[in-house]
Amino acid sequence: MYAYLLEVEAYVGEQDPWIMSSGVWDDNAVWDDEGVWLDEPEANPGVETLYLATHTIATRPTETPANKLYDGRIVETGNFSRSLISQGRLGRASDSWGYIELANTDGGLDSWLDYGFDGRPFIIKSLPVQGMPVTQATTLFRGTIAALESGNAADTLRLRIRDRLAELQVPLLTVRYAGTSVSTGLGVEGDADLQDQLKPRVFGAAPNVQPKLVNKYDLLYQVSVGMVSLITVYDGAAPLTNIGDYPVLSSMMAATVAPGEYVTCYALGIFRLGGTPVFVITADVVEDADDLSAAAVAGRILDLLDISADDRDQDSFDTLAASSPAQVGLFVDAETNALELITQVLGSSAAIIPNTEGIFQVVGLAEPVAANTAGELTFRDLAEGGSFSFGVGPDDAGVPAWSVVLNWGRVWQTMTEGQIAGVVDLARRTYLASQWRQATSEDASIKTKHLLASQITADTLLTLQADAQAEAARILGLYSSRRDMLSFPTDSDRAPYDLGEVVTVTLPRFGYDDGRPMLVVGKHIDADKAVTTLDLWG
Amino acid sequence: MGKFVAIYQNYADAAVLYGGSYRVDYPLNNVRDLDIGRVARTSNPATSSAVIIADLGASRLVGGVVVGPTNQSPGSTYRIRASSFSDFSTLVYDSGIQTVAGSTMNWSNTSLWLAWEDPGFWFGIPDVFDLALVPVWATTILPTSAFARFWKIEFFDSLNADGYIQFGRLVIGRAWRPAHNYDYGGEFSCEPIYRRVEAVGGRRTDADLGRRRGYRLTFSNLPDSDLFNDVFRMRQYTGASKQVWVSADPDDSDNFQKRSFLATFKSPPPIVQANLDIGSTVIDCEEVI
Repeated sequence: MYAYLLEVEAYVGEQDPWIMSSGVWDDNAVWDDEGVWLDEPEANPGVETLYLATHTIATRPTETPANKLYDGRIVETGNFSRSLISQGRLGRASDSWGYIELANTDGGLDSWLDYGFDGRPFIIKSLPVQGMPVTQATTLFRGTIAALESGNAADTLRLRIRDRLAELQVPLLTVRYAGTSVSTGLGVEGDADLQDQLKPRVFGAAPNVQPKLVNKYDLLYQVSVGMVSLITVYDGAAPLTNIGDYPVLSSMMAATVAPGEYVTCYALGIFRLGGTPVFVITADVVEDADDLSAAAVAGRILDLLDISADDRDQDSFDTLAASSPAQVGLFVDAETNALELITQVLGSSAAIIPNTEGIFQVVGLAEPVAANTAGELTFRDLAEGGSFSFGVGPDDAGVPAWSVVLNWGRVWQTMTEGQIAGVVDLARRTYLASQWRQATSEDASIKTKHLLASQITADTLLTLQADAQAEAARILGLYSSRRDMLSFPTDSDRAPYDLGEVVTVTLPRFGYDDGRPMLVVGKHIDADKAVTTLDLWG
Repeated sequence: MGKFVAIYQNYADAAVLYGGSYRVDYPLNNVRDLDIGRVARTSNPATSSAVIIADLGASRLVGGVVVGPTNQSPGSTYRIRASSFSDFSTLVYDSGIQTVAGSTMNWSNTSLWLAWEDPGFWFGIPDVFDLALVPVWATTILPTSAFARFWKIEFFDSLNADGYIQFGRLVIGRAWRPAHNYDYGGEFSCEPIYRRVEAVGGRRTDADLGRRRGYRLTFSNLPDSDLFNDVFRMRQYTGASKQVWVSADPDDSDNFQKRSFLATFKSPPPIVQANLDIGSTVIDCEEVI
């Protein structure tokens, strides 16, 4: 490695489009005989890319970017961490924070204090050899600037950075009811009781959700702001009769509906009752989508956040959807952040995290096998500071698990006896009284060796028992034997592996003599020391 | 063998620079920036474009003119003229056509011969250019200092393969030419800049970030006329932060680029009084990269 390059976007203020960023009049401006601009340039939105590096580098006209000066001001390139472990749990991506320190002793960056950096993207690249075109630099990290800061601006400025996971840590639901439906025929915005409450949304298949009463004068209820393919309505858990679906609200309103019946507008996630309900109204809802798997639902959540197809690794989503096609269900009506929701949706099968290019990917959490190994790390690669933890699991017990209990089939609105109509049978009453059903997978033989073998209990959003049972068995397979977590520091050139890849680790101890396939679950780059520490699980 | 020379007190940093044709994104004024990587780049390699004129504001005593690091082609030439008039109608100094020192092969020096497999063999280009071992500077040390306000540097390299000519720094300054050369035992150092990771088992992996040359040269038996003129002025002006251009032997054209570089002092030269009117100093400097 010869140099690090930094390309960072900043809002520098709108500029006269005829004046170039260097402050020089654009000689290429073309005027007609009457002084009217021809070929008028696009208005400058005020955002520029700033170029910095550890060495000052002037690019050639033939490079990309051409004729750019990378200002050699980087004092510390900083640390970048990405991990599939958070709060002690494997599979929950953790946010990465760090900083890049820039020399400002000469005041050359004083003007930056007026720029806007927060929320704007940056890229750190590594240039292996002096004189190599910057086009050939490899991306080390792509993320988002949190802020420009300094405790000592006379000498240095710091760009506080984070990875793109921060873009998911925002509330998923932002649309609220206006509260303007104060009489019949005035739409679906609720009245004062509903004003400023979030509009709900269903992903996958969600049983027994409590809809929002969006027009009490016309008995209109909303289950989701997204399009749905099925709404089954219950009054006190007793099913009502759907007499038709209408494409728009006006035609649904024109329909004649008798008490005990309802009509729907799947396109708006709304239904209308034929008579005033006696008990609590609930509904089973299915999202209008071909694929109700966790990967597909996670993808649709990214859609809502305007994370484009270019910003996601669709192959990883497709691969997960193929390997874990089980249907999930999610009903959201509160201010929950999107990352938390995606994490719930993916459950124990995968995690979402941006890759080094800042592209969102889902990483499957499967048992690492030698056949999938992307490379090898040996004792010769191990730098100072490594650590080896043996016997790690999904909890603090530190011993293998003998039993996995997964909660599945969530009932989004549980109901007590007083809320249920008398005609409802005992089986349904029992079903609605409990939020979860359980699928258990056990291997009692584990307890022969491990007297303190643990039991794993986890919630899922799976909707079918067979899927939950299979997932419980899969998790038991992962955690019923010894699992190790290695913190393996090595020269950065020796650690090109990304999260989710399998690496074979060969060490003269710990039973690693013949190599042990390990899953990369964390990657921590110390750019200044050129050391990368991999968290390896397996 | 020539004597050590140091070019200091760079008048170009406060001069008005003009002439030639330069890219807007690499303007001519970049040569006044202390960062040698922040280059001025001509719009094209035409002779009319590759011109620098420096108006020092007043006539100054100049002992040397240095331009670089440059991408000038091996064997390409340049010319420096000085005048008290902006039209250069009357010249105070004219270097004549100069070749970038050390950029062509001296075949009479067999120690420098290249193997015929070397890329530069057929073109007579020394390996210092082939491998970009060191930055290349176009340098003129005036035989005697000249007193002029306007300085014009022209470059003749219209076939430059890069399609432009660029310079990182312009130095027009006074020259210290000591009465006696440096003592036996002068040190010409090379500091590797690198980051090292050592595995538990001892295997080392390095990130090679560059080299920094340095000189530690002692000058003994210097007269007060040296010590309290140039040496005193140089250390007071330069301190530890301003740049000085040094050459251990400006007459060694074969090794000129290897032995010459832009530097800062690790510590300003001390003046050690040995005897009446006699003293010594030490040049302890390291390369600007």
